[in-house]
Amino acid sequence: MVIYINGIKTNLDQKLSLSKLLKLNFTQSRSSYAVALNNEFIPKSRYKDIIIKEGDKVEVVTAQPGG
Amino acid sequence: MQIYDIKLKTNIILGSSGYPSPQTFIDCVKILNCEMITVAVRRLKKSENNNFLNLIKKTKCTILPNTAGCLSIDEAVVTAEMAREIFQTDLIKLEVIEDDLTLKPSMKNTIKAGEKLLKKGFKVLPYTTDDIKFVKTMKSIGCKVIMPWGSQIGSGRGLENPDKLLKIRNEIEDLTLIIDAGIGRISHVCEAFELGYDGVLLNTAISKANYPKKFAQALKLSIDAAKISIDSGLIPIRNFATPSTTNIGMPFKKK
Repeated sequence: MVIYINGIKTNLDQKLSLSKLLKLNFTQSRSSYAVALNNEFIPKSRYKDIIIKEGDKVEVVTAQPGG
Repeated sequence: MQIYDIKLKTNIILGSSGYPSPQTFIDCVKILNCEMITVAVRRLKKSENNNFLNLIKKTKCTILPNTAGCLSIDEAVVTAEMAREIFQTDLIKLEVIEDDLTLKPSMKNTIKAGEKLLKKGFKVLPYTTDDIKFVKTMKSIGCKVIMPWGSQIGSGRGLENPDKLLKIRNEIEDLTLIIDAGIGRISHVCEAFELGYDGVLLNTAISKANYPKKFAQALKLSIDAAKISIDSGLIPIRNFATPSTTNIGMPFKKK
């Protein structure tokens, strides 16, 4: 199954929840982040209930300097 | 300066981008006694330990996330929602631009995104042009703070249309108006206050100065100077000369 994490094509060989996907891909990160799935904001409370599907586009953002 | 339910003692909102070092940014915040700073959200890199959030929390400033770079209504709304979760604030500096070249705010998309965000409970601070129709529409949909541009972001060109900005101020007396973008010189900041604006939002003028802390010191002095001079009661601007020296008793006259 092919999905996109922050625009990068990623192959998944198993069915995963969004929560698990984030844990696997951002293991080193202790940063606060927020997530959009297919251009829709997903609150943290829903991560565990969402199963990733073929072609899903996951955006994971964090705090950065800005003007 | 009133930002929705928050009262700020200082009239400056400081952007956090592009400083030579994080410490320089912190120093500038302190020099200016700044109480509100703008931040952004961007993609998280895998294995990234982002300390920026901890850094800005240390400043104790109120955080104003932006939707910088968003071209569509949906991008702006989703970005605002993600920012709300990360920064735990309903405040959002709404930027929806027309193109990447001018970074000019899109009137149509800013209005629509603003309406959606206000419905979702955000406290929206929209970045607009100096078009009074644009600004009045943002007021009519419920924005309590509006931020017209001085000139294009990062251009340093100052207030390109002071007459338009003055008209906006004169017609919208009851809202907080902040000049956002285009500031390059201390004189631009003074001009904004002299036009009656409540505050100024700036970033590049400080962060890209050769010595940002020096610019911040000058900025602090200039804000104080502008305020005192305005309190002193400025003379009205006239179209024609009025002699400062009396003509009474002028020699060489017939009478």
